Amino acid sequence: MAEKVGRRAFLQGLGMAGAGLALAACAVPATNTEEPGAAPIHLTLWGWWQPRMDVYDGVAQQWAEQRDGYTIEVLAISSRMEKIASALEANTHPDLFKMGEEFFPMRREGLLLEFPEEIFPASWYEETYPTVDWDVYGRYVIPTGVSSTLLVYNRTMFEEVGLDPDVPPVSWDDFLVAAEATTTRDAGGITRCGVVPADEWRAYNQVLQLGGNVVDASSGQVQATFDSEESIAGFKYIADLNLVHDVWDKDFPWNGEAVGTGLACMTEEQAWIVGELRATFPDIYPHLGFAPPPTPAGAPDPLYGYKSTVLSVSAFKGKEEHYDAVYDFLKYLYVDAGTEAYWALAQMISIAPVRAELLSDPRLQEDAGLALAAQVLALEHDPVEPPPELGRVYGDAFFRMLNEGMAAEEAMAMANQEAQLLFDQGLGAEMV
Amino acid sequence: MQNVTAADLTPRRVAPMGRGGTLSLSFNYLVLTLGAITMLAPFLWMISTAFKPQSEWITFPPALLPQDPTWANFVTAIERLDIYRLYGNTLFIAITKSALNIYVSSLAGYVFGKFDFRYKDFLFYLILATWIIPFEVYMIPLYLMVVQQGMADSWWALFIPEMSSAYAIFMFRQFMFTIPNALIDAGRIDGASEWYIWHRLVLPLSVPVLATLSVFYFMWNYNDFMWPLIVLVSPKKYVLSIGLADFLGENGSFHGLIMAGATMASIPIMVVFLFLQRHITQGIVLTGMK
Amino acid sequence: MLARLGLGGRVPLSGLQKTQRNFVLTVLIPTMAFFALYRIFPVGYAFFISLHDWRLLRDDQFFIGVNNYQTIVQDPIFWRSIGNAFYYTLGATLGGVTLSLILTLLINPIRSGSLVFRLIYFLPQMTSGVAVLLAWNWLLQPRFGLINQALVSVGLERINFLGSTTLAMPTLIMMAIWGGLGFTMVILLAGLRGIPLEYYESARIDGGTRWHLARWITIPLMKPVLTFVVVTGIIGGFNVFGVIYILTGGGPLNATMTISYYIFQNAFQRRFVGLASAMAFVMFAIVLLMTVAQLRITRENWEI
Repeated sequence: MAEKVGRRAFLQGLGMAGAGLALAACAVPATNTEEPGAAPIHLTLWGWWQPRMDVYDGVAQQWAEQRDGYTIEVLAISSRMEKIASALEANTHPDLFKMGEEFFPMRREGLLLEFPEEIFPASWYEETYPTVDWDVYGRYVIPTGVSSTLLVYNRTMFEEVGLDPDVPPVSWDDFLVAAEATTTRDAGGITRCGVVPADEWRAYNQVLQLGGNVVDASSGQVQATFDSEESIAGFKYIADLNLVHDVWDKDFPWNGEAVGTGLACMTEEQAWIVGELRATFPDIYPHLGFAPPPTPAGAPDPLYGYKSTVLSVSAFKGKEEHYDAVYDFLKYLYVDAGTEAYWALAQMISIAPVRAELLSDPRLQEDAGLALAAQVLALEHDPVEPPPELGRVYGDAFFRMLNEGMAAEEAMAMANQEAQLLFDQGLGAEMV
Repeated sequence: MQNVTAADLTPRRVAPMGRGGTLSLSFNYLVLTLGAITMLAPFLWMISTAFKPQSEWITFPPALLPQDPTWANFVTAIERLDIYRLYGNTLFIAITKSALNIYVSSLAGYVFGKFDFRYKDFLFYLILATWIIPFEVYMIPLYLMVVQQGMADSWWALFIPEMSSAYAIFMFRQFMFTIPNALIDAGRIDGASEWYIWHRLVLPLSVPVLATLSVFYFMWNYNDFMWPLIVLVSPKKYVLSIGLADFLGENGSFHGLIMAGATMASIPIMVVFLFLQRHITQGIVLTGMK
Repeated sequence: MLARLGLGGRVPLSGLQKTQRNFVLTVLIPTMAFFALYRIFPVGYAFFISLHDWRLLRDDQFFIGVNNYQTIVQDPIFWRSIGNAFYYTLGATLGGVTLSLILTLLINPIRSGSLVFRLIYFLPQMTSGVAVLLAWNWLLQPRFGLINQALVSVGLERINFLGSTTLAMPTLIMMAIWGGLGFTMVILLAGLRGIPLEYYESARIDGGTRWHLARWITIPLMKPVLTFVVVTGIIGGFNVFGVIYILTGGGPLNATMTISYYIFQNAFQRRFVGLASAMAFVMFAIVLLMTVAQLRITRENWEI
């Protein structure tokens, strides 16, 4: 008898607990539900680097103002790559995403929404983007433009040490002379670097300039070639700026900040650095000059370095109720308002536009940075899809050479193994 | 502690020292002062940099004080960091999460401490055993559950999985041994309901352990990092810790700005804690000594 | 049977007064449901996931038995990350307790200014942990940080604290010690004040030096308190994450890769949750072993 009561009380309690937990679980989605039709549709667009996202925000808010019931929020989130996987799994992701190197893996895994053919017919694409290969990007993203490698140098510092600021270095030897001349030192070591190399894909330009590459895709399968003669020589050239020539202190800040604060005279970087320097370091910017990257013999034989196609916004699958608004926004961004926004973006980060209307735009010739970019681009290599993880391989190779004193051959052999491991996992499958 | 003597309660008249006498106290002061400078240096350097304009962030040699102090970093940081929202979110989450956890856990602690029934110890040790499960083990399933229950990117995902905790139950159960059974029995004889006894007789006597747990949980929840980083997606819902980490990522070259953000994130809470420091100290001692 | 094992009370639940029984059930059932759902079930679920090639954002997951465990056993970075977690935990705990003990012994006899010192040492506890990390990051900047400029000005070599494979981990340990000193000191000070003065009096009459007093009276009598801070320090230190995430990202060359960060990276950056769950289980096994060892060591001193 007593046992029976106990069981009933037990079940009673269990029911209460279940109800409590169920209530807790149910109460939750209820707070997040958006009534379709009644409530406004709110879109989110994630990217990084505030000045650029401000340009996107301008277009986005115009779009929202012209429509009833739509709002859009544009955010610069530096930890977006850490968050996006868990957000997609939970369907709490942003609708739109400014794309970087992550585009190809995301497309391969079927995470991206294909733009509707009615809005973006193949004929429109061919007319608007005559130079871009439609097959590479599919109907999933549209390129903003193509970014080239440039040499950035401080004209005022050149003058101070007796170099002609109108004659920037064109060969590796000139470059070393200029770097040595502009380096200043005191008892504690270097106080101003002649050069601070790029953090990302460091020495990739030099490898290409020597006629080599870090991968070989000729067999149809991507093979790492970090241990090739040209790769080793290219990496060694950059490492020697620190180890042999002492014109670069590796403990200085990253290249944009170093040049922007006058702690370095030169760097070689993708053209986005122009926008970064203009937006973040307005005091130094007027002193800067831009030129094609120096090459071993002073002429691009075969190349100046690498270029990369800068991608704009993709849309994610998952929130069906937002699709119509997303398509409408993409149409506004890419077709209706696109030209001017793309001009603003192109100018801001000095990337050569690829839209037909802009290719013939007279403003293109007036902007010195863009004119230079157009000149260099034809002689640069587009690797298409370097996986983000490959950046670590570059970084570790340099760490071993600069901090651990490892010989270039040995460090590059290790880098080759690590890179091959990534390619074996299927990363960078489109790389060339 | 086994031997509580009068010396614990009265100020110490004689310092426990060997030969060497009071003179060597100056050595104590010297070492402690050097230590104190080390403790303060990061904060002072942070505040000093926060007031420097961009041209003074990096100088040879470094200037300890700003030559041309400015509020500009704070103004920009308040806007970009959305600091008031972060304060509000963080305080609300830390307080709600702590209060919910402590209340729910204290009930269980009371039941385990003051009632006798079959399987009691088994259930208690079962709960206690969950204490040693590293968060990393249940983090991934918990995340998938949170997703499935529709709590992702909402504060529920912070509250619900921390509604109760083995540690708080354990602490409360231990404390219950100091409350006389006669008190509870007297309440029952007077015809008070079990809930009345709990709320009106037991809980008021439990203030010391409640205070300890409140302070601890508030401190832990205030600095919680990994789980909010995983579940919170919208910046509007961020807490201070992940908001600051993102702020560093977006503004890496703006050293003064970063330091202004760090100053605003640390100094106000420091002031609040200064007022509470007696309670904190007592709380720590209570856990440590038990 | 449970009763015979000494695991259960003697009175069946139904033997309680009805009102008491209802109270107990109302409290206990939600509590047990909570622990079952949010603590115990996830452990089983995690094990289930660890037996799969399970990826976030993929609809189908594949059962692969113990393959994930075989993968991680052969992964040198995994073992490195376990080793690093031990390095960090032991360094921060033992270093912190030793330094706290010294400072406590120094602060105990002084009267004026004691509170000020204790407050200053406690400051890092009273603030946002991330803000403190940002401050350290700036202080330790390899070229322009205050510390390196100070080193140069007195004629020493610069040190790239966080950018060196040998020094990055000790630097993080130093930060942890700096942050935890005040907390440990409060506990140790309370323990110290619990030692009866008479012990010192008689020892002094016997002519003990300061070192003798510390060695033969203070430290033995503080053993329970010291054990407590060591045990809690080790439990708390093993899953270090935030400092790695913000300051080093596990680098350089995995020198600061800890198990917690490696699991996070595999689960939420690479999206290999199956693999990450297997790692978490190996970590669990290690933590269990550590806990058993600690219980053995501490049983005599520190009763649960």
